[in-house]
Amino acid sequence: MAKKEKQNSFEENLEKLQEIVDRVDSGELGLEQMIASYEEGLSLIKTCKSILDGAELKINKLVEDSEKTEPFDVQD
Amino acid sequence: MSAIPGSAQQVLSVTQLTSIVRKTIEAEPSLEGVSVRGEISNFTRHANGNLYFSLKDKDAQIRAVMFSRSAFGLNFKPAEGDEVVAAGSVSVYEKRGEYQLYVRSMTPAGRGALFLEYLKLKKKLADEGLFDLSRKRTLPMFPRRIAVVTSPTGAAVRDIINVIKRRFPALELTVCPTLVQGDQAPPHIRTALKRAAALPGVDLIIVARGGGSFEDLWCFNDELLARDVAACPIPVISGVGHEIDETIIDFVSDLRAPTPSAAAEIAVPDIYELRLRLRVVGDNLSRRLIETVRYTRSALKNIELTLSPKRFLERLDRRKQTLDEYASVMRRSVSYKLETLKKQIEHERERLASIDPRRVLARGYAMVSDAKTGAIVKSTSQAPHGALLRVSVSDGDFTVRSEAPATQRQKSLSFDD
Repeated sequence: MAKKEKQNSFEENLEKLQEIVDRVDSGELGLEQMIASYEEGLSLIKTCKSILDGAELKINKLVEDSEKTEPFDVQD
Repeated sequence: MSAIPGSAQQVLSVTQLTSIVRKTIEAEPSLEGVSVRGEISNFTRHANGNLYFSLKDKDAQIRAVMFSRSAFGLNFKPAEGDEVVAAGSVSVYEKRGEYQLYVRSMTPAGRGALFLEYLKLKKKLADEGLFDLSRKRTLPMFPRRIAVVTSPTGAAVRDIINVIKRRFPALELTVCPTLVQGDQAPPHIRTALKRAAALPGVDLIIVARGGGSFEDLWCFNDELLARDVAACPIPVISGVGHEIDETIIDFVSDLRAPTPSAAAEIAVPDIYELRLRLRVVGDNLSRRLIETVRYTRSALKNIELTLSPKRFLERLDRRKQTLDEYASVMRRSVSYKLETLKKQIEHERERLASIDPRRVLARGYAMVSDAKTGAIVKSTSQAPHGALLRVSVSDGDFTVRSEAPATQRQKSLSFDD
């Protein structure tokens, strides 16, 4: 569940980040708003990066006739 | 009819014997109206339209002929190597002593039949609109959980995992094992697909299989499977076989990938690109901020300058200069006006001089006025005896006293006459 939330926030963060970029690019921001947007953007980037850095592919396999999953080993 | 060696018996001609064999074979009910499956070999098409060939399988073969009137009704073009089902009856061609199959009808079997079936199903589903682009669902940009419907032991699952591990490892991948070949495969795949779609949080399904022959991939041409994929609530990417392979599932899936690896590539973004994008966005934000600070600073400087004493004095000087300019303009216009007036006065003076009565005096006339009142004497009544009068001549005045009584001049009758 924690994983899911984390994943959710990656996409959301990226969307928010895009919004900030659009706002900043509009050239309508005053200095204070600009500083606020900059800080918000930077923290979003940091969050996104940390999600990517901490990403680890979770691989599993459906167990036959069950809703359960079990670890899946890739045979090389 | 049995012949006992050495006993006196009837000797048959070849023709007789062959005829007996033919009749025996033709009388055998199991050889009449028979269907046989085999591969065509030694195929020849005679100029008259008759087809001659052999049907063979691993261990045996039989000569076959299809006469032109029957061959005319074929809905495919038989060729060397084709797997077919031929229907007809067995008889003997006496001239050559060969038994053979007299083919009355023939249909493709194996690959040929499968291909016809495939084309038929493709057309049917296309007509139903199952392949329409408008039906295709959008794939998630950042899938959280991908279900891979495939064989757990094949190269396909390994390829997919490797690609996703490399490109975007921030997700959960669940393998949904299934058969991917053979008659049992379609229901197996359908079950796996249903279970995949039911996984909690799954937002993308990849149905994959490595390369194989047309027959190997046949299970992906299953009509029910095709309908399941079309109706699947989760977007489906198909990655079946190699680039050139084409199966029905490729048309009903939301996206067709040429291979399992390609399916994985399409399924997830590239983490390196994402990192790069994040860096670019960060750089842009910094640049924008710096720009804004610079701009704000220069705006402040402008305001500061405007308010400085130096600027203030400069502005005052400018105003003064303007005032000076106004003043000089006014001065110029006033002196011009004065000049004009002066000229006008001079003109008037000259005009007045021309009518000055003293100029008449210069011609010898005199002007008489009462010395006391200054009134001009125009009538005798104004100069009674003893009146003191002033006489003005051209160069001055003198005073006289009136002596003789005034005499009035006759009205100028004489002139009028």
